[in-house]
Amino acid sequence: MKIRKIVGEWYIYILMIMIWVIASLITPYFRQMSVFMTIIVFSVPLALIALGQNFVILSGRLDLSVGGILGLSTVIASVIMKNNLFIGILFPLLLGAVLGLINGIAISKFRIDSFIMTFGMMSVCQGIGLLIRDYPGGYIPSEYINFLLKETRHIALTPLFILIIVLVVGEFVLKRTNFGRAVYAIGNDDVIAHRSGINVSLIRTAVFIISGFTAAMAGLFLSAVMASGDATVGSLYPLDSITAVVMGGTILAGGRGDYKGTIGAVLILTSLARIFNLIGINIWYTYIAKGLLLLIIVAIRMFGVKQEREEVL
Amino acid sequence: MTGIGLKNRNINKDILQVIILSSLLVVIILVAGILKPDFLTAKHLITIAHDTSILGIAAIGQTIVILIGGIDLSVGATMLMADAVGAMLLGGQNRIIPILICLGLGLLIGAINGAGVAFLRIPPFIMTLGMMAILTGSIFIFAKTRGFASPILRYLSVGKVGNIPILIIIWIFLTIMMVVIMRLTVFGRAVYAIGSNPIASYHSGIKNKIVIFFVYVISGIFSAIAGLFLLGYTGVPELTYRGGGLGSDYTLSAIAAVIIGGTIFTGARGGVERTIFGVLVLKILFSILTMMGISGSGKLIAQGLIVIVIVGTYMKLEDL
Repeated sequence: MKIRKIVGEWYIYILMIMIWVIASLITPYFRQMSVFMTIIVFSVPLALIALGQNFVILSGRLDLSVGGILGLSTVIASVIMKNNLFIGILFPLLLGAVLGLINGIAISKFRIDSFIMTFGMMSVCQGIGLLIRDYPGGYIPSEYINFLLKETRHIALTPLFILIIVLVVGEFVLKRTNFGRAVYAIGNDDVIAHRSGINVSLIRTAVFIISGFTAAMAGLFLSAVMASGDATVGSLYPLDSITAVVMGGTILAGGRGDYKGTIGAVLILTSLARIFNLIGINIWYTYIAKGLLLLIIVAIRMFGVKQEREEVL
Repeated sequence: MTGIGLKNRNINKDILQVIILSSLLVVIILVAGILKPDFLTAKHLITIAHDTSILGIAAIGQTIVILIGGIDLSVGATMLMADAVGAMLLGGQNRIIPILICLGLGLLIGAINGAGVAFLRIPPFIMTLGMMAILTGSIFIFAKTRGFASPILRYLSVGKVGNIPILIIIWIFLTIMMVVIMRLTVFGRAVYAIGSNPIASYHSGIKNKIVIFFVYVISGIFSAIAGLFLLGYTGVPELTYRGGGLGSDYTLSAIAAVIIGGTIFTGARGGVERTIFGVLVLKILFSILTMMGISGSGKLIAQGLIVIVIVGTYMKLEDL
């Protein structure tokens, strides 16, 4: 029983290690430190977005606007940073939080379905981004890029730190704070949460603010990786972040799950692309692998869950 | 996503929604007509309706999936699959087997989605998201940008009877067929019942799993039909990145059209006939923006705002 519990909690990391071992057996290139660092660097934006998405999904909603906010913040950073680095960092973060606030108010106060609201917000953000910069470009200061991506002895310390800090903060907020418990509570049942004295619409709005903020953070990081701004760069992130969160063991209906599983899923998703690239497999196979992996994991988990409504569906 | 269900099913509000939507349609058409007199010609309006038909057919399947309380994110990818495979196999000749293969492919995709949702109890969002990823990968690996539509398919998609394009007639026929099925048959009522309250429908003797399975099968077939007409409309396969990410035109446009039409995500309210309004509002708006010389970015902003405002208005109506 105990082993089953441990496997249930850490299956995503077991899977990750299995994939890494198999990959390093197949191709010697995968054993190099630089490959590992590439995986870390490309995991950071997805991990940041998935943090916000994880909060939103735990509260029982979805956020599709993360890709639009990410794209918009890379564009704005690429416009402002050449004049003032500080404002170039601060303004996208603030904008992300404000856009998240708008999402949150519309969803909690006006009761617009989160799928529709954030889909609309994604279109608007992408449109504004394209209006400002219709082709990728702009200027990102090299000292900013160096600060984020500099490698000392082949180890990119800053991305590694960001990943660890995000993991610790995410897990801490979810598991050890009143706010985190409130997020789980409204995800499980918002009526009961309301009756037990939780300000449901406040928590719900806060969750979307976090999601907008982390999306903007991911955008700032990605603008350093690309050394430019691109309004459409985020188009895959909404679904990828939902995939990561669900693969990591969080239930789409909300109320159950954690962030450490999500990070494991993020690492798997970014590893797959690198591994397929190194072995020389057509990059489109990663899509098939991603889809199959998601479906298999969720199907296995659904077999394990005994529901009283099983027959009913 | 609190259940609203049948108890609030208020005919007056439904009528109010239809009135709001149709007056919105009339207003935007009139405004466009005042700005650009060319817009109001019958020829131009028919052209817009013709443009709308393909999305309209895809949205029919999406509507019944949403009515049952699910969602189908694989609509766009299934369309592009049928589009690419159809072109490859047809090669510009009138053959029936490739058409059947494409429809069978749609049926198979729908059946896998349905089996996953109904029997493995995978949430519809996840099931169809995974299917979308698998299909997108497969299209780009196996399908090549070659081949042509067959003359008959081309005729059905761009040909006209008198002044009316055949595709519009097909769209209207399919819609009426589906409305009849949804309103008058046991299957249709079962879909509404499950969308309203799956536990109640189960206890009243409806086989939930079978009905859910077939709803996804129907959606897959409609997507494949839309994909074939897309092939006929353009003549060559449209192998762009549209089937992929969230930017994919057809999946999200179909969902947006269904929601604008007044079918709601929690299921059981709305209907196939409403989706016609939704599709038309989206497309007419886009063609007006195109006519006024507004670029892609402006269209994205307008699409986002329109969807939010219309759904916000519906939610306000609920409070009345």
